[in-house]
Amino acid sequence: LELENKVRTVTEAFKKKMIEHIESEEDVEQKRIFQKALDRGMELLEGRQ
Amino acid sequence: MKFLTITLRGIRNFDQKTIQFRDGLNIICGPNESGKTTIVDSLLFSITEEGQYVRDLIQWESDHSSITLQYETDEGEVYTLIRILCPEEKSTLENGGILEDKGAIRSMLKDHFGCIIRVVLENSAVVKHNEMEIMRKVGSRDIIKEQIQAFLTGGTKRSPDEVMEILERSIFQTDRVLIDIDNEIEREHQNLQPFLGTTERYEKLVNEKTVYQEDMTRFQELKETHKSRVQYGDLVQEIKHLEKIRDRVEDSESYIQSIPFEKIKENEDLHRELEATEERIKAIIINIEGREQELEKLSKEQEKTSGFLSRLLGPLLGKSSSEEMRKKIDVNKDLLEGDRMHLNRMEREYREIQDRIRALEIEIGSFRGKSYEELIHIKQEKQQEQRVILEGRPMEEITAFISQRINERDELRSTIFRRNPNLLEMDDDTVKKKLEELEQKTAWLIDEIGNIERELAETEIRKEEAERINERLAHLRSQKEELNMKKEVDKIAKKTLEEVYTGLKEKFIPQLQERAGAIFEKITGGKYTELVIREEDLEVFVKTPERLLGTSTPGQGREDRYLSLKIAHAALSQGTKDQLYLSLRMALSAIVSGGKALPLVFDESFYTSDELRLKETFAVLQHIAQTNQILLFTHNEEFLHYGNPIVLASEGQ
Repeated sequence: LELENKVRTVTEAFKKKMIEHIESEEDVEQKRIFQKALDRGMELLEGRQ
Repeated sequence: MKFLTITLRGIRNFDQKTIQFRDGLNIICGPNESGKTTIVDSLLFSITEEGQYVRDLIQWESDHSSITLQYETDEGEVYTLIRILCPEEKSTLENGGILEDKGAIRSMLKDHFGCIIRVVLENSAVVKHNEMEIMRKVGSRDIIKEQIQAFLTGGTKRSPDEVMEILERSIFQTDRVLIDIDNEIEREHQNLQPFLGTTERYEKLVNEKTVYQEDMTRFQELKETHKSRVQYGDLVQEIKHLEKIRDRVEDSESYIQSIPFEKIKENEDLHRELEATEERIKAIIINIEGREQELEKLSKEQEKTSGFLSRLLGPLLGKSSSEEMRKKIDVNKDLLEGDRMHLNRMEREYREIQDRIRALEIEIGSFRGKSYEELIHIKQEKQQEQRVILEGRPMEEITAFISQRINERDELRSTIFRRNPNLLEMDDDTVKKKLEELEQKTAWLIDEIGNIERELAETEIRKEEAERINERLAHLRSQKEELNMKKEVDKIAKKTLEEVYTGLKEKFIPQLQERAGAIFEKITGGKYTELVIREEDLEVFVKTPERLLGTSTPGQGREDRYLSLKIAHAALSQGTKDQLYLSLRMALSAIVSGGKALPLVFDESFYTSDELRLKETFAVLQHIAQTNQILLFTHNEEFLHYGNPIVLASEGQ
């Protein structure tokens, strides 16, 4: 019983998932939205907003 | 996984201190200020390099500060981790070879400890100070939830639940603002209605004005060319007129110049001379006739005296002698001859004069018959006529003016030829007619352009108002777009966070349940066999083994069945709660390390426990210590006998 070694926290999992979205997205505008969503989520999780 | 030794040099109150840990339960005992917390901080700092205490760790005025941690992995490999803090920061990890690269060291440590995030480690493997006591007071639920969440989030400032709530609120607020913006857009749309088509009308007017102005320019150019052509025609006419004046004056002057005044005068003189000569001839003829008569008379007398008697008596009678007579006759003859000669000469002169007159009259030609006086009069009349024609200007001026006009005409001709050679082929009247048409067209265009400009001015005001509304609409749409994007961003962030959080919980909770349940079952000696964590609120339940219990079902009566009891943790005794809590912490620690049995650290965790509680707790710890190394820091010397004692001297000792 082990968690996946590379992702152990919400922050890391969120970051990883968003980066997956960004990398797989071809539409530039949608890519930008995903990037913003990543920044927004990280800022909130880290208490910067 | 176990810690072997930790050596602190120049760290807080330790000049140099090495502590050797053993397997199982280590009781590190020392009074207050003996450095227990320093050792815990140093352990955590060595592994994570995180913590606000880093600078605090360095001993005041020390020229060297370092922490050396020796640990052994589950595979039996021994590593020495050295963190030099002073004089300059440097890290090495030794295991036969030496790693100096920070990234490589971090990666290796992550492999060994599973996690090198301080908060996560603290929340899974370090039970602090009076944590157990707090848990008893506020209930394990919150503490457990806190630990689990801290583990799941990696020690973020906000929990995923809080973040999702913020995002939800933000989406809700954005929706409300979007509704307001939509209403405002609708209002502005209504405001825009009266101005619909204004911009198009304005552009149409601008285009029309441009077209008319282009026409105007074209017509103006045409007009100028036609004007030049008219001017050219006028010049041609003027030149003709001037040339006519010049010709008339020149003709008049030529006529005057052709009058042979001298010859007329000479002719008149000759006529007078001829008349005089004629008179003289007549007089000479009369004279000759008189002399001839005299001579005849003398001749006769001489004949008479030539006889004897006359010759005798003549002198007596006082009569002339024949000699005298002869002499007289001779004289008369001489005189007659003279007269005749004179006559001949005069007659010759007369003929000469006549010849001269004839010759002169031929030369005089058409002026024959005109007297000198008459011709003088004619000359004066002609001169007067010239003055009238020239209107008082000198002839040179007219000539110069004609040259100037000719130059102007030639220049105009070149200009017209360059612009519109066909115009030169047209007659003046046609050109003038066309010029009039052009004048009418340009006048019409001026009117039209004026009308357009007036309408343009009015339309511009309306257009500006429409533009203002459109700008406002564009601003609102841009705002709406931004808000929609913000909403989309929030939704994606929330959805993704929800997914990963749920995913992690789904993955993590069963592991935690299973691992903590197994530990709990062991610790409680099989009193409880299962542990259940409710995903939505992380509420913890425990289950008893199945046993025969009587149950009643409505309509079916009472019957005995094998059932497992599910008990909320709040209903457990405090001792069981402690067991449950420690089971969860151990399970968390194991999960954090990826299945490795991380050492558990207890920092003054049980100092408020009574003797009974301590006994129960240490029973649990000793049980745990069979699989996990435990470092229990305490000031209470009574704890020493529960495990491997390590005594710290007080400060200065």
